[in-house]
Amino acid sequence: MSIIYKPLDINNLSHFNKIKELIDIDLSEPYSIWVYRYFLNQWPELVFLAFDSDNTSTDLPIGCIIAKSESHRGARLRGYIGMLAVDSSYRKRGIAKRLVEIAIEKMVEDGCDEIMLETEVENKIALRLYEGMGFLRVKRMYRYYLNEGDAFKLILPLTKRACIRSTFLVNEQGVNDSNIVI
Amino acid sequence: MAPIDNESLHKSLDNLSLNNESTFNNVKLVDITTQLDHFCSKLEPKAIVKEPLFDLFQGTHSLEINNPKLDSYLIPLTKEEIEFDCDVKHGATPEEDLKYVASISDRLLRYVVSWLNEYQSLPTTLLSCRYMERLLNIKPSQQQVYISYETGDPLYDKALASLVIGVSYFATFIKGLLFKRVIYEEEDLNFNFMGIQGFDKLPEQEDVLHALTESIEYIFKLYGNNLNDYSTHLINILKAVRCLVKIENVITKYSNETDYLDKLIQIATYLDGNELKFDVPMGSFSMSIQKSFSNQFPPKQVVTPGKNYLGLTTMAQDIKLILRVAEIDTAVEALQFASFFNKLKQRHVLARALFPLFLVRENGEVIGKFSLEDFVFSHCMEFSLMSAKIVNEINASDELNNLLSPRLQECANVLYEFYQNTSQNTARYRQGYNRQLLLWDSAQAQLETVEMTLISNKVHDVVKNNDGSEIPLMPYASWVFTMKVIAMIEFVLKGFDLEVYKPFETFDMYYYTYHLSHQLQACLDKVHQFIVKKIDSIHSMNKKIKKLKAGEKKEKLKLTYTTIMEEETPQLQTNKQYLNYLLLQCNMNKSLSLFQVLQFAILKSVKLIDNKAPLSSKFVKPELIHNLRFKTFSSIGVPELPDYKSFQETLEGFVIHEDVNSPSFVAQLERIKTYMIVQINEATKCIKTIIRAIEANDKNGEVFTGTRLIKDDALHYYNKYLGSTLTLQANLEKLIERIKNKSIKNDESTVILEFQPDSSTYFPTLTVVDQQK
Repeated sequence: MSIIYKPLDINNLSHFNKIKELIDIDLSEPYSIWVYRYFLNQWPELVFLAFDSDNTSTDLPIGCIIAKSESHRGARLRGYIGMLAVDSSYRKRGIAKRLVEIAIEKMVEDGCDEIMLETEVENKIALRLYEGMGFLRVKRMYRYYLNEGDAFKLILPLTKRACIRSTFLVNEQGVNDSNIVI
Repeated sequence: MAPIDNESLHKSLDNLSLNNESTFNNVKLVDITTQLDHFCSKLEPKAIVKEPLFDLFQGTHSLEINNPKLDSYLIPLTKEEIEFDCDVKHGATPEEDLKYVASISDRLLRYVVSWLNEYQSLPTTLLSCRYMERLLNIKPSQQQVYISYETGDPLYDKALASLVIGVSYFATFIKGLLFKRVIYEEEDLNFNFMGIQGFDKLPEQEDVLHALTESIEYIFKLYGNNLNDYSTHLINILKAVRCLVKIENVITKYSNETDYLDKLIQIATYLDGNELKFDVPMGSFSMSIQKSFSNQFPPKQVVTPGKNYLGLTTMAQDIKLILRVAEIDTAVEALQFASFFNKLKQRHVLARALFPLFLVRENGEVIGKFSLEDFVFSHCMEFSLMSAKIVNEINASDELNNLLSPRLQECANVLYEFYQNTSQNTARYRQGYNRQLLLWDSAQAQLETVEMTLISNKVHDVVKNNDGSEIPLMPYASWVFTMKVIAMIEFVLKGFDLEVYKPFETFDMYYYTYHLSHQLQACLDKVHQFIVKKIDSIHSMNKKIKKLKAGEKKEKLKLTYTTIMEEETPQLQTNKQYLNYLLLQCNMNKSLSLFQVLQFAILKSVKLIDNKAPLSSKFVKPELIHNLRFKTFSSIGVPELPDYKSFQETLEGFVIHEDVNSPSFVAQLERIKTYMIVQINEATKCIKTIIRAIEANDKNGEVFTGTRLIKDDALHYYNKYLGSTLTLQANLEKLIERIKNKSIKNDESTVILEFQPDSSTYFPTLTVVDQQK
């Protein structure tokens, strides 16, 4: 089986619906369509999809990662991994790991100082995946999820700026909110 | 109900029209279709339309029409739910009505526990009750919620109504606590009030209590000597709610009365032992409120409450506990109370919310006795300031006083934050220190500047260093430094409790704790030495007096001596004993941390662990990861954070580099083990001394722990530490044995951080397990 990875085609509605389906199945918290559009429309370049190239019956993705990057307190550029999902029949083949790698590579290329995400304390598989890639648990958040579970906030430091408190960093980055209409 | 199809939607929209006279709720409506079309025509494809404050967090709470997981309008309701009427009786006989009213009341009381103790939401508990909805859903013009239904039966119209209003009153009180930001929405509890206005228009406490009392009297009158299980149960529930309504007195009247809390415990115990099987009227509890009111959350099933009456006991006991803070006599007692009451066991959310508000009152006074500034002064006097020259100097100089006052005001603000933080939930508690450390650091720097001015004026106390040189006492800055470093150590060790660290980070965290403890010890030693010297000098005055010939000089010195003996010596003695305690605690953490550092070094010596993140990914940069972990401390002035290289070199210094099969390896291993046992013994000695002092209520003359009011919690805490000395040692013995008999296979083994029973979660063991585990 060969898996190929592609950036999101924002105009492909069937891909959009499949992404939503992949994520809705696995996540403890249901997201509204607004949340998907929030990520996909503003940061389409930080969404990557995995396809099974051997499966000719469909061109729908079997895995996806959804991320964003923006200025954090005007102090550093922070990448954020919002969602990651792989179809259950394709798991344990390193697809999630590869998707995360591709997203990180893109965020490194974009000049991110750090990448952040949250995961459930009980989600040992996700913790193993991210911690194996250098993410560090920076804090625990009490009853963070609607299912009442605690979460860990994880950060992968990419530059020295990630290791200095925001208060002590000079604002060098602006927020790119140009595609947001009020 | 089926989702609305597009055709129906368009038809409905077509029916909408406006003219110049159109109004809604007396507000004139304006047609903005043209403007909307105009702005829409300017939108870029794929643009996101949102308000500036509508961020991702808000977005994750947004709902979605026609999505059954997110659209509460799609909740299906039964016929009974749709047609349920609160203004008719539901029983076929008076007996059945009593059972129904008792059953609804019983469920409401259990929902209070589900909501507060079991973290359920309001709409799935209390607000699922149609009787709550009926009374609280008032018209905008209505001035106040009515305490009545219209069934014509006082059991519903009086008893049930007063109970519903009592529970609502209590819920509104909790809502007020959320606004005071002593607890946090969603994290500590949920007050999703569904936009119901009635919560803000309830009668006064006195009227609610009166209504409840009247209901109780009515039931007594109705049943006379023929009280059955159901009427007795109902009376008890009404009484329990009366107790709940009185809880607000803790912060409205700053009352530390506990009679009503004892009563609540008594009632909860009765209800727990006399559970009745009840059926509520069909449709009386429903998801309908989620469907018909302003709902910000995905649809959720109504909670089925368990037999949870004893949750009320937990709540009442925890509130009783925090009220004991009113009995503090000294600042150290307040400090110790705050440090221990919520430390090992997270207290009930209501007790945690009330504690900071009861301790520091709305007028800024601490338990109504001291101003915050005086409270700071007391903390210093009970630590380092007693008998220091600086006190008289500042009292005599307006200029110095003006210089010091703003700095002490800043300390008061940080101290206030410290006390607020102690009642936070376990995760937020650690984060609170993250912010607090910067404030302590800044306060210390500013106080040092003031005290340096005094030093330049040669008005200061000194103590002798080990090398005989003199160092200034700087009593204010020393106190702030102590508070700061204790907070730093707590922040680091709490990370183990919250499982924030991976095993590979253990060396760095314990080495840093050791380093901090070492710095703290130096400061405590300095203050201790000053106090001992002061006490000695006072005692030597007596000898001097005896040697003097009778006369004016002798009488004058005698008077000075008597005054000092009365006014300063007792506090100096207590301070010395308190310093003894702080030194023991410091030594305890220092010894156990050193033990963990060495345990890690042994594990590294046999190549089972390293202090760097596993290099399985190209994104892993060990130094950056280390620096990220120490970000909190990177900006702290004193004690300075050792650099990455120092951590690496220190670890290498501890590691045995010889071949694991060589005799010299075993010899070194034994040497390290012996040293580690010394650390355990040292820690054990310290802990046992502290425990003895707590058990003796600080009356054995050596150590003052200040834990009189929080004795059980403090004992529990130190006994867990004592447990750790045993589990850590047992784990070491096991490891050494396995290394010696070569039963560890590196490719099959790994190291985990393991919490051991009856041991401190600040010192989990570094346990070798097979990879599967």
